[in-house]
Amino acid sequence: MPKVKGPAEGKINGRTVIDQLIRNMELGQFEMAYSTLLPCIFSLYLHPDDYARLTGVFDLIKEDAKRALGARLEQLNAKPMGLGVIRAGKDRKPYKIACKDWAFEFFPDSEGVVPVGDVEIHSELNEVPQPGYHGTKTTLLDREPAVGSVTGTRRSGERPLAEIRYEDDSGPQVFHMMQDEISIGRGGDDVLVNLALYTNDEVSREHLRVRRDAARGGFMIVDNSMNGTWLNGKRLTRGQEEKLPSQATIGVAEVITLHFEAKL
Amino acid sequence: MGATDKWRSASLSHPGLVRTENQDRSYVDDSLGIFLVVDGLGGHAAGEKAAETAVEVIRAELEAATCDPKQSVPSAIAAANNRIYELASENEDWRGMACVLTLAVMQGDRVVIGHVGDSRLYLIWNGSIRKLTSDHSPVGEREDRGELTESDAMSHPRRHEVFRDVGTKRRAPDEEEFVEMKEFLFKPDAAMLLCSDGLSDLLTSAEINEIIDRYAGDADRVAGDLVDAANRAGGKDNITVVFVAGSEFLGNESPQMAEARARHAITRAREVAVPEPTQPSISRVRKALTSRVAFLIYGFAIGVALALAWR
Repeated sequence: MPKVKGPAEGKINGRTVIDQLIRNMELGQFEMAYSTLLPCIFSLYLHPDDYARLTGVFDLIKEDAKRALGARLEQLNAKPMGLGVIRAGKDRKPYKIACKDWAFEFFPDSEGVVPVGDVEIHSELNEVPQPGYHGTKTTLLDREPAVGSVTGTRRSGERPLAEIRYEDDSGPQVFHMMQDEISIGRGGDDVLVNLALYTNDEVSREHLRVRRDAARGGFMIVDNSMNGTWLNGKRLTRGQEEKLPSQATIGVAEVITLHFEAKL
Repeated sequence: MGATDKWRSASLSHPGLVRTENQDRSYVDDSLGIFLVVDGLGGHAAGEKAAETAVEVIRAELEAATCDPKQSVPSAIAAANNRIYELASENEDWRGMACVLTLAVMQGDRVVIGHVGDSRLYLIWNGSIRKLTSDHSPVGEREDRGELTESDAMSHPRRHEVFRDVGTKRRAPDEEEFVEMKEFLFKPDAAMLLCSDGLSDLLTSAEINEIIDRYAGDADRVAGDLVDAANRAGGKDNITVVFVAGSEFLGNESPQMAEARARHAITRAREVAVPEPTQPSISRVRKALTSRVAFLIYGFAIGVALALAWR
């Protein structure tokens, strides 16, 4: 365990929380080839007393935090003035966040690790729901783990929108698509997919998505994988959404074939 | 808790909070890789007798078996069926007794499942839980077809009806509509759970997954936590679980996984030392050291070293 400093003077306030968010954001940066990602999803754990005391102002703190983090992001991306040294021929990597907006969620610390006046912050780089820390589910997209053959988080009385038959290392399976949009892949400890394939790691954690296009009355498919997705034998361009016929075979990284059938 | 170099197993059976007798039975043989959950049907002592007979016969048949589990599993279940049927026809007290069961037998790195009725086998891997057995019940079939939600099925008044059982009539091993056979690859980082409907009628698969997610090497604890949770949810029926965790399986909520989770940046206002935010996880380091590229580099390095040594 890292050493913990003795309690600081005074109670925790919004200013401290926001300063800590900025610090966490900077520590959590993730450098990539052409840009640097900053965390945008924050889970804040407070001592239960502090949590109770501040409950009424969480929304105000969130508002302020959004502005403060936005301002800090702008500052980080600002061109260095005057004395700034720029290496010739190399652009500076812009700082980015991988979600549309910042998200903050406050939790009372149920494990007795956060003392009064302190705040523990967990951040993620993107909108993937994390199996919660400290026993608290921080599923920001409100997704639940799927059950292979039965599956689906849905309200009662609804019929499946589509059926997907496939065979993975667990044998032949049938998946009923109940939501308007589903993710398909291998899943993982930090990636919950709706249709979780039991297979090898040639299949990406989130390999592809299928969504119902209510406006046009059909289905759409998009590949998000390393090793590719094939629609009726033709490889999809990664990240480019295409129309999914009401009956189709979908090749997943040349490992698994999904037989898709719309039930609308 | 049982253990081999490939898995750890635990089993637990509890009468629940409503029934006085426990008509469930479980059987585990780690040396032969046999895992069995049986739920007895029939009044008074009959259900218990049926479940006990099933365990006895299946155990004896599998211990004596020399053939492939794909044959020995259905024939052991058929033998149990016919023994229960005979006992029931000979003894008035046992008339109409039967049971439902799920049997899993290890065969190398694969698992052969033989299944009759509405007990279940779940496979847990990579944070997701999958039900591999079908429920041979009107409610279960509708659930498997997507016509009923899991929670609708759990509260359905007809959820206890089954249309396949072991014992009410004479059966042949390969008879249609009798033993459902399945087979799957048991990955070292996967786990499986066999359970009677006393568990799955009270806990959703997501709730079961949440408990298994806390597994950190103690299979008995998972079995105990599952039974406790079903009892807290009402304990309406006998509850039996057999939990088998592959040697590399770790729950997402286990302390080991929490430590290895690297993409979190965790900060504390009052801490002096802050955990390194971009430190790669243990598994990532291991992956990098054992990747194909790494081995190419190792080979190259050894070659260069040898060439230098020869000079």
